[in-house]
Amino acid sequence: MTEKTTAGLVADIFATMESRVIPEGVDGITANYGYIITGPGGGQWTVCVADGRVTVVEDLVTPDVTTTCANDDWIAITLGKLDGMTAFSSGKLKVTGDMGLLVAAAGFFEKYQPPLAEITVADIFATMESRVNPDGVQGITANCGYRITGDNGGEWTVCVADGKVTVLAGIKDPDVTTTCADTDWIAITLGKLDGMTAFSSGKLKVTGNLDILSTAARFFKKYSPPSAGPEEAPEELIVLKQVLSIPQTFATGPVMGHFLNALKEKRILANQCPECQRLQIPPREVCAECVVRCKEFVQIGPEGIISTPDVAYYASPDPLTGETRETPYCSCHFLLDGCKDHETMWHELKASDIPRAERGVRVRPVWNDTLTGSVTDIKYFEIIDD
Amino acid sequence: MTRNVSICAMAQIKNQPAIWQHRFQGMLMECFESIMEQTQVTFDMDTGLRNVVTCSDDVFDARTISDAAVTDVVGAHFRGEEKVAQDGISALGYAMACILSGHDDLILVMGHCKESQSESRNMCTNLSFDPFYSRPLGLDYLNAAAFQARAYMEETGLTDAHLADIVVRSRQNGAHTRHARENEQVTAKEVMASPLVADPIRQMHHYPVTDWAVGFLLCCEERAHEFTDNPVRLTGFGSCMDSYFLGDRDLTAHFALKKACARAYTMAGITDPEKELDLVELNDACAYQLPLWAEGIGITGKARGPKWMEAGGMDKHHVNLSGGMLNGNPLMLGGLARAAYGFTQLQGTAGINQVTGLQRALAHGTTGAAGQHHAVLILEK
Repeated sequence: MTEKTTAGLVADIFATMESRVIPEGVDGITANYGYIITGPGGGQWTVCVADGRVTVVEDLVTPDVTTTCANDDWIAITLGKLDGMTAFSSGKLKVTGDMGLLVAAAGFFEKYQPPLAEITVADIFATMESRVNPDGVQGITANCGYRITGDNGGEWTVCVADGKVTVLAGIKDPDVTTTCADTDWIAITLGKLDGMTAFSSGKLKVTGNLDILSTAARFFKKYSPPSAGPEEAPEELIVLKQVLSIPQTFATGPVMGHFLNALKEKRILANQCPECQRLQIPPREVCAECVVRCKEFVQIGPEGIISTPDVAYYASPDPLTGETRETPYCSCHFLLDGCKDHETMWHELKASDIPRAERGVRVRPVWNDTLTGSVTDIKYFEIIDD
Repeated sequence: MTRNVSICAMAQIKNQPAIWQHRFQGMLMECFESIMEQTQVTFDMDTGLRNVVTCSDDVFDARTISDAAVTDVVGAHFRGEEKVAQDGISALGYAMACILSGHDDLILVMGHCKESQSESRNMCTNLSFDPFYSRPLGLDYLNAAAFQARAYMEETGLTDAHLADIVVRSRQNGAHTRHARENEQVTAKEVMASPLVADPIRQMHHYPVTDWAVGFLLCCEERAHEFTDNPVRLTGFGSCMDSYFLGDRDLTAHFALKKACARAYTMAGITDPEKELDLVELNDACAYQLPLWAEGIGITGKARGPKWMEAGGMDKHHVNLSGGMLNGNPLMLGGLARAAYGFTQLQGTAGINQVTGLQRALAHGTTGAAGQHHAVLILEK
């Protein structure tokens, strides 16, 4: 896409958003989405979604999430030529604030249709010499004058002499002169209005040798508006989207399986290396460092402290459902009672405890009502209030 | 300096329909501990194991970069580990190259595959095809093999009765092989009555779903005595890859297998395989492949498979006395199972089917649809 045609496109994308809202897409969502689009034609906008209504403001207004992106990339994303997630992963699109909100935003709007670039009468005449149809002008010598009225109009003379065509500004010794409004002339050129119909209805007036005009229809090859690009569109390169899925049955074995079974009794087990004495949570068949089988199990916790907290603001969508878990969520390494150094257990912290997630804070597991022998039998750990 | 390579030890678990009681890590652990016990090999960075070569498959393990999940149970922690993701006989070839190059004295080779973990192994092998063309048409290793079986039967006159004989013999031999999968003994009539799964392949013509793990310790010949009194030398290896697209291949022409053999035979100094091989283990995932691969390695002529069988060729050349892959080894490990059996025969510990006076054996492995890749290994006393 050329610079000429992208000018103003970013502004148009935002200006048309309110008219493109999909009601089900924004249903139940209240958030302000800020956009900083850099480069020529860029700017700052806020898309305010509130109870199914969308207002676009040309400024940043208390955004909950802000997307920063170059103008060309933003246009490509809007036109579906660049995948938003790919742009994010590759750093073309930067996000600050609540990333989880962006996942829903993909369903807010109907597809954007870029406006056709402006077609001018001047461009139609300017491109005539390059569009000459040699067979159509062969053996013809005539001057055809055109008086195009309206804001977009002007006067031109198409001089045909022995197969050569010259377009001159102004009316010069015409054998026939056509008078027509600018909009009608554009419509005739694009094939949207039939020349004979225009003549019959009086939209097109002719003085001079009318016979010449009947041959003029074959003088030129088809006019391509500036936005249509090359006459032959490139072949569409197909991409296939598939989900790979093979049902599996995973054995847990006597080590991982023993750990999972203990969870059913609300007990957390580690296993201990007979040589270096370190604990492994979850237990594994072997101590990789000492290359020796670990057979001794030790009950640990269930209370402990936060060793390392980590808050995730963006959750990867489930490829099968497209759904994402709620964000933010907090994963922690917990150092349970009876463990030391790196002998930590990785699990989740209760979401409402995230503001207080700090190293050294005491925690306890919260168990699900139904225990199945899976790592999610522990719903999460929560901070113990004094 | 020219080096030689020996297998000093091999350890395996029993081939089983579904090892539900262990993770694949647990399966490997048993083999690993056995090798440690047999050889007392250490992890000393100067004199012990510095490198491990593993064989596994991401799709069968349902885990990308499947080797990363097993480094602890194969002793690869804090040292080199490299994975072969095609038939494991290539892992032995790779380990040989490490030692022959002088890069290492000792290499541990460990392979595992748990076919029972996936609901359908055909769903797994369907993923080996391109997602645009062959995969949507439903190709998997089984029906790709059916194309090859049909072509081979048309060319040679191999019949359903020949195939039944191969299956009956495979199960009889399997029953005499330690660690082989336990299968019911069947009659030729029962084989010919078993249902067609991909015409002309019947259910009993196709190896059964199997879980297995195996390990080998390879060493340069001059240090082999540190680990065993009964080493088996590896004197030749060759491998060759044919076209990926099934339609580009003449399915009965043995292009890749012949090239692989030519390289291995040259390395081992073999000029007449029909006379110079005392034992042959072929990777027959389907019954028709036994005579087909026998042609490919040159122990019988082109299109002579059925005649060779009728003349007693399978027993004369000691082909698949283990029961072959047809008796049950998982995909990826068919070639390693062939090498493991060749090793026990050359050590003289093969039991009822032990061949006397054995000097040289060939083990064959193949990967991909209808034998895209072939590799052969020559083992000697």
